[in-house]
Amino acid sequence: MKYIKWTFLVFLLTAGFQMLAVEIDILELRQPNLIKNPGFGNLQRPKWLPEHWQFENCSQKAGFEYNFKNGEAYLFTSGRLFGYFLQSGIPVEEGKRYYIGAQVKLTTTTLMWIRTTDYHDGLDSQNHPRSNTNFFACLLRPEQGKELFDELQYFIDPALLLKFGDKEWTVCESEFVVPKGKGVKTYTYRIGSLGGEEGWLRVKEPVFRLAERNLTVTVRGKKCRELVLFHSNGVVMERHKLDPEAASQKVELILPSTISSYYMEIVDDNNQKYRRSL
Amino acid sequence: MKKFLTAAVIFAAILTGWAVQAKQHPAEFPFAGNSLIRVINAKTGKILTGKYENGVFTCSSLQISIKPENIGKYSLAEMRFSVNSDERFFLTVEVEKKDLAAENFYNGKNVCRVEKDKHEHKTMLDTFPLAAIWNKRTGFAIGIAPTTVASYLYSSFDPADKKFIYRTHVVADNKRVQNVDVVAAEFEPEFGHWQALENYYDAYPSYFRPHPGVDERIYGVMGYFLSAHKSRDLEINSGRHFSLQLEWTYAPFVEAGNWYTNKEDWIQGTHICTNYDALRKHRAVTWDEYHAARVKQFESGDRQASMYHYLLVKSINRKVAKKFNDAITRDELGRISKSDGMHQTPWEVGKTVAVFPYGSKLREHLEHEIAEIVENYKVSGFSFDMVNYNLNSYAPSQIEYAVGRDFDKKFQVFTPDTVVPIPFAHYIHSLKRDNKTMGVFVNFAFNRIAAHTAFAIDGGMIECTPDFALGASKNLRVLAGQKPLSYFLGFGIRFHNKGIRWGEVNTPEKTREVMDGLAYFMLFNCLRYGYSPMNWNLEYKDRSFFQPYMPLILRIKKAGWRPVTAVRTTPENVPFWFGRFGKGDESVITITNPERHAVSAKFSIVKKHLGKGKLIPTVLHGNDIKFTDNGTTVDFEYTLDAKGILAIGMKDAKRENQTRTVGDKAAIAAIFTPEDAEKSRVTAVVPEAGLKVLYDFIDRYYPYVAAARKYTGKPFCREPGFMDASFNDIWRMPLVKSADGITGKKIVIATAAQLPELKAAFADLPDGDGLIELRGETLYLTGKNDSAVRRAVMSYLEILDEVEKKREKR
Repeated sequence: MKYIKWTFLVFLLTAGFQMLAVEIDILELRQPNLIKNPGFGNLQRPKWLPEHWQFENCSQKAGFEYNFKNGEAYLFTSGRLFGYFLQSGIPVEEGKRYYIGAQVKLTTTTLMWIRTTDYHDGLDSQNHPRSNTNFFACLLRPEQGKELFDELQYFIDPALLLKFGDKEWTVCESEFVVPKGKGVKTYTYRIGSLGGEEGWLRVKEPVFRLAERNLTVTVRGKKCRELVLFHSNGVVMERHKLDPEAASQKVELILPSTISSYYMEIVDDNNQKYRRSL
Repeated sequence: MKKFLTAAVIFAAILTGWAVQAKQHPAEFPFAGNSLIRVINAKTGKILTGKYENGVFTCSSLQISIKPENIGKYSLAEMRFSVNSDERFFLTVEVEKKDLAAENFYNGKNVCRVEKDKHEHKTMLDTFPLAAIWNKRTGFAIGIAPTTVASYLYSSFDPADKKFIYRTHVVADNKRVQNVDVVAAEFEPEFGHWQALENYYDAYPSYFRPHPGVDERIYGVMGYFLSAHKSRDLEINSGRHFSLQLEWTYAPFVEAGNWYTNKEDWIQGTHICTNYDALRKHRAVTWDEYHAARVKQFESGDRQASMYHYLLVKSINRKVAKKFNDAITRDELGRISKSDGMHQTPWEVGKTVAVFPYGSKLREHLEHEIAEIVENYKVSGFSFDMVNYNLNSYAPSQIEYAVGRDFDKKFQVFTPDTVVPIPFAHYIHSLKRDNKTMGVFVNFAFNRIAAHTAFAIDGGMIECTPDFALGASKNLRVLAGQKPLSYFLGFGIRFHNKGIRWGEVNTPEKTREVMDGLAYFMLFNCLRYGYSPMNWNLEYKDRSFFQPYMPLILRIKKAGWRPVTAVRTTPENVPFWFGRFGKGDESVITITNPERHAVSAKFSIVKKHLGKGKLIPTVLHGNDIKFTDNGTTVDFEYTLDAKGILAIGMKDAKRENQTRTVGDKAAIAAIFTPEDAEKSRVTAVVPEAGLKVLYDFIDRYYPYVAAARKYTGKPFCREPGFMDASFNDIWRMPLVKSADGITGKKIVIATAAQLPELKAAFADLPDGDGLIELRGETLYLTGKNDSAVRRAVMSYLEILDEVEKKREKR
């Protein structure tokens, strides 16, 4: 488990910059990455693939080339081929939500694909209601990348748009829940080429871990009476009473998802609210 | 002596050889702008050598005739390849232009800024068969004419030696004379490669417009009725209300490849009639019931929309295909897939195979099926699904058909399946029904589109919204020229567009913002490229979003997109999107501002690009403008607000037909009320049989409104197949041919010839205009011809729509 510590000073904005009100420390207990050798190191003969990784050429045709360097996997496709870097046997617990992701650059259609052979829920790999046992976790088409961003940004808040392409690393991510009571023990993680045009993709930092985020929030400063946890859609998730007399106090927060955004508000005796995104 | 003789013979032989060799001519021919056309043996990489006499090059059993022509602003070389033996030649036709110091290179898909590196483009997919290079002073374009079905395209420009190369492949044998028509020309580069493209369109206009005689409704909104057999009479007002003018009539057959379901095709107990009792409620029926239902489906739909019968011409049921083994597609190793994954009905999953019908007797079978459909169903044409590239066919039939063939690295002959729709389209264009040429409307999906397919059809769609496949939507517009195009599906279907962080779109406000953004994005792309939304999109915000722009969208769609915008701005670098449509006095220019703030500029319309006409501009949409004609340009200043839209037309454009209404609208609406409908208190007088379909709209108006209210709570519904089918037959309106002896309220639907009492009213009525006139208890819906009467009826129904909308608000 990794710890990340953030310290923030929250300023109260009233008529101007007036006073230092509250200091917040956030300590996050990050879940371990269940993918082995996420840096694609230690190449193994005879296929010169990184330890624990395989390459599955689903098309069974020539046209793929791959290599691994500086923590990245590189895949070239001559076009219209299906093939993936693959790691199988990733252990999971039933009923738990998992986060999967990777950073990518691409000029061809790229798919991050998760499946288990232990059980299939019979749902669709792409459309809703979407499968949790065999699904296309992240499908990026180059034509929906940079060129689209350049035009669509006039119409939709750019913060809501992805800018994937061959220039910038883009996070490709998704979450799923392991079905309960079906004997699902392991998943396979794949990332690669989904039959796109001639081009390439680069992958780094593949991740497969529990989606839950555990935070310890330390609030320093008097007169704080409540900490409220919100989902970014405005729904209140948790309320924690604070002691207005305490100079320092800790609150444990569990955020169920890595992808979803959350924020918290600390409310003081004067009903002033201090908001922090998490 | 013997030695001397031997030496003399050898010497003579060498001399003769030299003499023969001296007559050998390389297959290299001068062409436009000091370019060269050469024919290369693809196996050896060497230029062919042979005899060249009277415009015919001969090499072994291969003959190449070359005929120079001019077509529009292009030079044309018509090359014909014929072989009088069993030999097969694998050839590359190459055009080379040297010595133009280009700053830009267009490869048929993208524009590349020329710097140090060589630019190459090696695919025919999503590529127009024309490449161009240009600098500030001049430009040069080379391409393949649309008369040639080319399945291999290559273009390159190397700044190191200034070589601009264009190539295509030819497989020449004795199956058929192969034609390769090469075009090349200089062009004025003021608007870059768009001018070369505009010249190409002008040289071959028929390839960029629907086939003559095709149902004009192909220019309208496409979509679905979403109807059912038992509620057919309710669909016409639904389709009318949602502006549907072309229906993609999905899979009305029971077996792919047996597209017209004969009695002999019918398997009682197995085959069903889809959407019989209701939408998605199918029924096992007899063939007679099935046939009656299908005949009714097309007759009914045609009252409102042109009906395009669905076909997937490159995929049929294996049961049919196995009788024509030579047509079944193989891959390069001769393998036949168990299934092509393209089933069109749920019961054919895994049962269809890819075929290349032409070159096989399968062609006759399928053409016969098509002819039977035209004979039996009231169709305006056919809708072809999935005409984009899927695979290369190595079937024996494609070798025999010998059009658009290419070869692989092992010199095996194949034809991409993008060629398959072409001969079908040609065949369909040879068919007529009701004096209309049958049309072809196709689905290009969202990538891998071949120009040769786009050249053959009449109209099409991308199977998505512009945000899903922006590149394909732009490419298709270039490939299709002035042909009508449509978007498909609703926008904002979550997760379709992978470029949106849908996880962050998690509040009603953000959802609204994204939906609005996507709607504006579609609207702006419609105004830029002349697409129209499908009928589902029109429903956005209860039809208030797109509807105000639909007359403009449909006008520019029909006028036809033109590549040269013909507008210069000061400053040059403005964020506006431009669209130009039509020519001469039918020109329309659209300018949109995608920015979130207002932008001002000075504009100059360069008149020479608009074509002939008086060219006096007028604002169609936007604020008033003071135009100044400076001879070669028309100049004006304008500020476009954030998301502002400006449309400029010409004053002398052909007048749009209208409807003249004489009488108070409330009084007109009061002639026929819901209560009148329920009690059959109003009589329809329709003297001419051809106008009976217009009676149907009025007769079924209130039953449709009542059924819609029952199903949705609103007076209009896009899914008549889900409405209570009992409304299909209630409240029939009395119908007579003559008003003689009819008392009480009447609606007369007739042409001017039948209405001498209105002679004065017709005196100054333009020919195509409708007339609504209320006289006492008689409402006349009329005009000088059938289409004018239809216009009057549609305008009258819109008056009723307004009343129903107000009733809803109350």
